[in-house]
Amino acid sequence: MRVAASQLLTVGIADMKVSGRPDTMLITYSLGSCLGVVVYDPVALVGGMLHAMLPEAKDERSTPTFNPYKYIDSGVPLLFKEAYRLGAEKHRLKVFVAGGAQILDDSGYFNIGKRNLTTLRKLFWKNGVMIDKEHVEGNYSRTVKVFLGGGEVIIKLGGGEEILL
Amino acid sequence: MTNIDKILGKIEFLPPFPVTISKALQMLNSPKVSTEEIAESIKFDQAVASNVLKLCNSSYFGLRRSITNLNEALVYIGLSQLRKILVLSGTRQYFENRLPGYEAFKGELWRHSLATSIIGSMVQKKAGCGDSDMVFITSLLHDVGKLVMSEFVTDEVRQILHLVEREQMTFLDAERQILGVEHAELGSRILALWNFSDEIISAVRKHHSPYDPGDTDTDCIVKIADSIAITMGYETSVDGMAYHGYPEIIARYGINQAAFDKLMSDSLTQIESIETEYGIMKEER
Repeated sequence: MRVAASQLLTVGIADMKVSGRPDTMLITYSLGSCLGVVVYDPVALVGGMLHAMLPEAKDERSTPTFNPYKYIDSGVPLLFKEAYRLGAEKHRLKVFVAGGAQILDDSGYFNIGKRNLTTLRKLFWKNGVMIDKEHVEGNYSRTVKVFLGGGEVIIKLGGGEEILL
Repeated sequence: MTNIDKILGKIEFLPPFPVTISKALQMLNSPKVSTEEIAESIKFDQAVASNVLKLCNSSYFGLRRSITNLNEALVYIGLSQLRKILVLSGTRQYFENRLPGYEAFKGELWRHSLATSIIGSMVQKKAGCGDSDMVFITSLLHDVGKLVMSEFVTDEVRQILHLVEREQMTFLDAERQILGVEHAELGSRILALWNFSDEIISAVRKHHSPYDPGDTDTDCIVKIADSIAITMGYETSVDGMAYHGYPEIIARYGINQAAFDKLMSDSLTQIESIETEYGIMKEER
């Protein structure tokens, strides 16, 4: 699937990128059980993506090397804030979610994908945010691209097909 | 010739493990070896010597100052770290080409291998069991079988993925069913050819096998380090997350959920540092 963009911003693990440049493509690789949370304002042409690894920051918040983008509960608010700062408005924001996969094992430890999703849904519910589209769970590795010109969100599943969300 | 013979036959086409490094590793097995002797044996192989220096100076291996003299660097780093550094420098070349059977993007398997060895070292420290060199090296090499399997998986990938999706089979079991052999078995044969120790060979062969209470600490730690790396997103795209985890092993080491999460969180920083300083392949992304 080809959509044009001249600037590429890579979102690493525990990282966030937000931009108001419509010629930009945001990309994040291999989500695993991490979540990719995307916001996009089609009028302001502002969009951003967070790639968070774990549900809650808890005690980590008080450590000197704290990285808020590592956690859903500390990263997601920053994603919205930064989008607002660049001109996005809440009532126009489209929200997309991808990832939260897990290995073939339902027991607690490796259930991080589900825990991430639960934390995210609670957070959205409390703040009156609706998810527009999502591609979550399963055992897939997912790569996510977001085009800020038209707001297309494209997910590459494993080594194969690309899906327009 | 059966399909299995054909795949096994391909092992011999892999470039041999670098001689300079095998020799140095062998010297390290002797209790009386000195750092000068090791430095002497690798200094004429410029590629190896410069890789070793680079790794000695990386923040993961922890020299606080930049050292340009090989002998001096080895004295600082110590013989145990040196063993890890030598295997790291010898292994990298194998991951230079994209492996379409497993990777959507070049470098995924190398990142996965680095991540697994760093997570393995962390689990080893946390559990206080097992041998640190052995865990690091086995974790780094656990997926070498994929180097040879890749072209065969590429040909049959639809069938393999079909089994994974329909039968909820692991990717490894599907490989075995379709191709007659899988990447863990193949990896152990490659390492035997490269003269690695029986403990490493056996742990590589078993890295996706169900937990067995008789598993050594190396076996156990490599199994969970691999699953944790995959969970964190350090996986190869095609087989993705179609493997089992090992909750029994996590319980064996008394790691609770909070400690498990913290392990993921803490290893990320170390993985990123070694990736930036040593791991990055020229990306075609």
